[in-house]
Amino acid sequence: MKNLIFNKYFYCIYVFIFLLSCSRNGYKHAVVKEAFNGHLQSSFFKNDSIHYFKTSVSTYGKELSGILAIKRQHPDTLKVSFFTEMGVSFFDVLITHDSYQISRCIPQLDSKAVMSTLAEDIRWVVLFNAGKLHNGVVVQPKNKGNLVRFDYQNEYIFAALNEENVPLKLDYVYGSKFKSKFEIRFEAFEKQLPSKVFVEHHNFNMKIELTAISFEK
Amino acid sequence: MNKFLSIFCIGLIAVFCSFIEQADPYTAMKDVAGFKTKLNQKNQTITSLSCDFVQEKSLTFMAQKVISKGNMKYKKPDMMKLEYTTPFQYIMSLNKGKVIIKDNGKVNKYDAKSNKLFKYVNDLMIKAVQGNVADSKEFTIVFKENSKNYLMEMTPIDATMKEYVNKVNVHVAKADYGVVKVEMTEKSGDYTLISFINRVYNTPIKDEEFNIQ
Repeated sequence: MKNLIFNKYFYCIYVFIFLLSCSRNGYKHAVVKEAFNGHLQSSFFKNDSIHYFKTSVSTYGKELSGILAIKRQHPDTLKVSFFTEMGVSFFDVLITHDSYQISRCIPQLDSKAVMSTLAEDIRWVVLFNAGKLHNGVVVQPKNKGNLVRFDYQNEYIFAALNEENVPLKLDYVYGSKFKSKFEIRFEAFEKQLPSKVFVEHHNFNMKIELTAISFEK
Repeated sequence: MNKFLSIFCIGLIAVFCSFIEQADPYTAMKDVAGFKTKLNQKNQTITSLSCDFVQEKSLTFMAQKVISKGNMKYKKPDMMKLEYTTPFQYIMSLNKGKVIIKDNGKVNKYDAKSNKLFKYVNDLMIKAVQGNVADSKEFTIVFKENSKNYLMEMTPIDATMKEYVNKVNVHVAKADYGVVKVEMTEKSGDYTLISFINRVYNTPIKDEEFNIQ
């Protein structure tokens, strides 16, 4: 008898957590209000050809930190170098709109899973994949303010924008349950440029924190 | 007009200085044994070192150079602290086999032996700052000199380490046998040049300086 009550108790908690996780973001039942006629605005690469970020990547209790240098070579092509504070290189990679090409990489990071995730994250952080976002509509998720929802390769991007259409938050959502794959938050803006960017993956344990820095010229 | 003239003069001086640098190339060292003896004698007298440093990192992939600055403290036999102050705050302390890193307000401690790269960089930096590399068995060394400095061109023997660092150049001042520059070149040709300036030897430094909280 005691066992039965105990099991029921845990079953209730499990169902509660499951329901909570399904309804966490409220995107599924977001009300579509109107078409979004604006364009995502970015101040990245407006005044600087290269942006530098003090970057820390933490995954499953392990942490890696260094300097991330991102240079825009063409509108949708980036040259990226990541190196330690003391100057030892982790990797150099060329990121295009849909692929990446490693120029060099230390063995510890040289895996397809790691590098494709990092390349995709970097592409989202500074380019927002803006050229591949379509059919923008203004939506209002439950208990939230207005967001803009874009179609992206049969999935959705929910974007919180400021008055100038600069992204404050991007949430990559997939599947019939509208699960969040990852979210990117842009904070501490100075002259329309975020000096802090946070990337958090939900499918696996990975967080990236970027702080903008300027080297003397 | 004066402003333009000043800029022109500064440019001219810079070009002239770079010409002087190029005009003073390194050639094979004449007295390697004598250099090793004097370097060793200097090392015996060093108990501590405090200085500022300027770090220049080349990014060949981007055709760019970046410069960071900070200060360094060293205390015999195996304590060293590099504190970056510009353009970011970052502290790395090597303290009796431990690596302590303070980054973004967080402190992490590692056992230097647990990571081969950590241990390698740890040993290399301490030995390089001491100038105590002339008889190293981990490198093949070519000894050179010019009018101002001695140069030890060191190539790692370990194949794994060559993946990270292809060559390490340690520049030693002829004036006082102190290490003035350490240059690490990677396989790709990227280099990191650390210049030590305002060097002050043998001032008392407490052990607590190296215990980062």
